[in-house]
Amino acid sequence: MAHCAPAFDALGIREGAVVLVGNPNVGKSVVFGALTGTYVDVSNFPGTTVEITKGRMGDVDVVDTPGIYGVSSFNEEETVARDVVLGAARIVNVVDAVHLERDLFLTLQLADMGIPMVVALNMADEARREGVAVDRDLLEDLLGVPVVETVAVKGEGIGGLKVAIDHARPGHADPELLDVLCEATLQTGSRAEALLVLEGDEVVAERNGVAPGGMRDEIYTRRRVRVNDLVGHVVRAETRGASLKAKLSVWMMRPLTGIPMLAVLLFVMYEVLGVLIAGKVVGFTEGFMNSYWVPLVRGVLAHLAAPGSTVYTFLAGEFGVLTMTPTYLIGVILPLVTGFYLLLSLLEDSGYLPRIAALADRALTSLGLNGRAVIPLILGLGCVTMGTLTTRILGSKRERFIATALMAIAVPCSAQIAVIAALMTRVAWYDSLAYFAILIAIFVSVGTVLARITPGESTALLIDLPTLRLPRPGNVVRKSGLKVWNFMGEVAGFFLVGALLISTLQVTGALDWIQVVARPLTVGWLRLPPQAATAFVMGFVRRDFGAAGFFTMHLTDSQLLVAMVTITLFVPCIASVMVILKERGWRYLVGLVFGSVGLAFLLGGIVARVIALLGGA
Amino acid sequence: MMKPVEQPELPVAEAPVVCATCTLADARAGQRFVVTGVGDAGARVTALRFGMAEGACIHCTARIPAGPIVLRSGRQEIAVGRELAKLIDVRRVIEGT
Repeated sequence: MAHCAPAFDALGIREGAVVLVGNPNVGKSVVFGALTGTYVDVSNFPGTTVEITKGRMGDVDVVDTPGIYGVSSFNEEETVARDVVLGAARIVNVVDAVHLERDLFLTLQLADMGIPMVVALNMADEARREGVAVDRDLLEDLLGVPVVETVAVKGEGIGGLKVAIDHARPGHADPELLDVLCEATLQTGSRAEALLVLEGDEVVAERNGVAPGGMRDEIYTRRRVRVNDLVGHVVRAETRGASLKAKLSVWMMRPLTGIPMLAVLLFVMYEVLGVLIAGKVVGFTEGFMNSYWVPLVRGVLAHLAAPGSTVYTFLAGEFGVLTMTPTYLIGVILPLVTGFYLLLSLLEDSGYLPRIAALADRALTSLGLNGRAVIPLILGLGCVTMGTLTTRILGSKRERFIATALMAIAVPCSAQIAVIAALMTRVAWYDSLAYFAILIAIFVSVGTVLARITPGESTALLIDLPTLRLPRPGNVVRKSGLKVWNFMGEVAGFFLVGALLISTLQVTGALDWIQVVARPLTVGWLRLPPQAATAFVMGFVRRDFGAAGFFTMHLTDSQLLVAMVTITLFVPCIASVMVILKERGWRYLVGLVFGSVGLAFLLGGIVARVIALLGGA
Repeated sequence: MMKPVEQPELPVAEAPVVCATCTLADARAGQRFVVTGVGDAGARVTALRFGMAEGACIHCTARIPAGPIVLRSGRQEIAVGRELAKLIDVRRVIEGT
């Protein structure tokens, strides 16, 4: 346990912490919320980009961990969960009553580790509806730890769970394994670590100065047999014929039916995000900020600094910290990000996302990825920064390399989509179509080229398909609310810096200078007005800034198409650049920035010339 | 354990696949199998966690054209990419035997 103290100290977790552990999508974070109430603290686990949520239950610290199928070191989420588990005084293991065959595998591993624990048998209501009856009393006897039935989304069973935590105790371990563990524990000092060493965990072995054991297969196989035996005793399931859900599940994954369904989904997303939120809601919120907030700030500030002075420009000018920054953050980004996360949480909660992964597996394989990559790619449509962070779930360095580049180059983020959607209302339909066609072509070509040249091997798809269900509104609101809050907190700083940077360029006259210097590129090659240079500089601060810059210019249809293509392919925003630097290193970043800028201008110019050849305006 | 036997009466469309031992890549929707070996170390760990490793009785619920094989074991459902499916050895179980 001593090994983990630094990480726990850094996170401010005190001794005696209760740690929540469970498979993905079992309602763990809802149980966490119900146990801890409103005050929670989210921070990165030291040395990683994995977020750890911490809260309090009375005097005790409660820590939530990423959803995992087992404790080991197969990916970053597992290593973080492993280290938090190793430091736990007590564990609340949340299991999905419908999927005990899967979930109890982790439970028995925790029992073998010998850490005192309680099992929350969650989604008990759903299990009953599905015709799954779980014998709680027998499960409690066989596991040797308190088992509490909960329906966390409704707050049922939480009181009982809180009481049970006081009675947490180590579960029944595999008796034969205990004999082996007994000896190994003498070397590590902790049974939990001894188990992980025997299971071949290299990191834990190194920390203890011992060689990793080679018993993983044997231990896992025995554990699987015990799980099947347990499930055989405690679960009484009615077998039902192929239900509508099962049929729907298959339809979602078969191209013939799945592609139209995905098209409908993307259309609905576009209608909600692009038309309703970007158009109507943002029109209102941005208008509100511009007609009430900005005049208010300028009115007050005019008494303190002369309009036109440097201070005034920085605070309340065109790109002012008190004018543009809040207008943009609250008026534009907040509604968009909220809409996006709500939609995404609906997808997550319904179980549709992994089925899209199965559907897209074939297509993504030719880009050197597997179906799982749709998750970061779809997230990238919301925010490239978010998508880049999610490339962690991909199985190999090669896949993370390709997915990050694809997102940074050819996937526009929601804020940018919104501005581009608004720009699109100004151009003819064939220009919009051309935009999408060009973008898809770039996506496929960049992917195909990267799949050829990126070293290493891609992993194959192996993904859990959770039961389809109607999303639970409480869960969706909670999940998306937390994500919006974190995201806004994260981008506000970058935004502020961006605004200061642009104002500096404006005050020092550098913006005019860039416009002049970039003239051959903007006017000569891309055939856009010289002011386009400002839009590109702003595009580096935030991608949508760039697109928004074209709003105020009077461009022809063809110029708009060139501008939209170029700005979409242009470098990712400062926030994504920071994350890419952190996740992939500076060499990768430099290559990516030069690659995307080069590609953006090259293609923009080609599009401009093709249009001219076709006799466009 | 049930022994695999020659399938007596299968619809014509499914007739070509009669295997005592084959890989998951040959699975068709509706067929049942017993897993006999997982040839990929990483996949083996995941298979054990999901209850689909050696000895598990699995049911193929869908075969996505040129894409993944969808499997069910109890209430657990997973999708396995075609390339990985080729590394998983199975023994066909004919119903009604």
